[in-house]
Amino acid sequence: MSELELINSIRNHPNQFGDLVKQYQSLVFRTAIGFVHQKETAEDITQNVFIKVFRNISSFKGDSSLATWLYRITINECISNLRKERFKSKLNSLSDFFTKDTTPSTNHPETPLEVLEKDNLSNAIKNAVDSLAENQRIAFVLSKYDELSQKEIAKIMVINEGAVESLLQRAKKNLQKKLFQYQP
Amino acid sequence: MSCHYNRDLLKNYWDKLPPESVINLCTQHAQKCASCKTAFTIYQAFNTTIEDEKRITSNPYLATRIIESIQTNHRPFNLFSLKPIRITIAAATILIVIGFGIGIGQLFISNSPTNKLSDISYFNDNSIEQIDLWLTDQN
Repeated sequence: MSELELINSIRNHPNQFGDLVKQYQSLVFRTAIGFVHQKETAEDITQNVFIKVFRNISSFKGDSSLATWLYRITINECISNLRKERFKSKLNSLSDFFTKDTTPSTNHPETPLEVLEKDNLSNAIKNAVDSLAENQRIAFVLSKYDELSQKEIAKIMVINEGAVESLLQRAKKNLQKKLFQYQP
Repeated sequence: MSCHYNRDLLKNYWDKLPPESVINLCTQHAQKCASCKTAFTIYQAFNTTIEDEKRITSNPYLATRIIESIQTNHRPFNLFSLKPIRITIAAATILIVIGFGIGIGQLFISNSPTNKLSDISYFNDNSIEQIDLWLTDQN
């Protein structure tokens, strides 16, 4: 069944929405994992995305492909989730400021491997990805996790291919800077 | 192999996993050079982390959970699905609001100038000077 046929049949018979969920849930989930790195949070995001799709399916005009539309909704949902989390962590750090002992620690790790191993190498990599600017992060996740071409990323982000290339280059540079900051 | 060449080879890791021959060269060099070993470890971990995350699959019942959530909480609005008591409250509220509106409208109408007696109604006809008298005076 083609995308438009599927959407038309859902508009007439909302019970068939399950077919769309089954077909596209892995796409949404994989993108969400790239942003949040946690299975449970990614599942919650996937659920919210499909609820939004269900509510707005009548407004889908078919100008872009269904996958592109889904990617856009997923990215928006992930970004809003990350902003909420950032706000929460700021509030927590503010409350910690008033409750915690603020004397600085004198133990400074020395070598890059010590730093990275202490923090767990994969966590350090995830943190480096998370520290990217929003647009660089979107381009990076779509390129690395979803393995999309620059053309497809450009369509999703509504920018030209050159801009995507530049975002990816900057993302790589920033990741290298973050990961190798202690490298002699 | 020089460290510089090794770093160039390692940069391939950013785009995709390099061929096995390249990995072997880098591994051999990493055994001799501590600095390149660190870089090699980080590049390898970078790819492994992303590949591991991509392999994470969602709960097999996620689709069921989504459909259930939509069916229970996000059904399209249907007036007839409301319970009778809710309909009664909604109807009563609407009637009260309409009545209140009409009441305010009536207040406005009763105070409006069109409902007051016109100034012409106080006009005393008797006090008007007779035009005949005025005409005779002229003659």
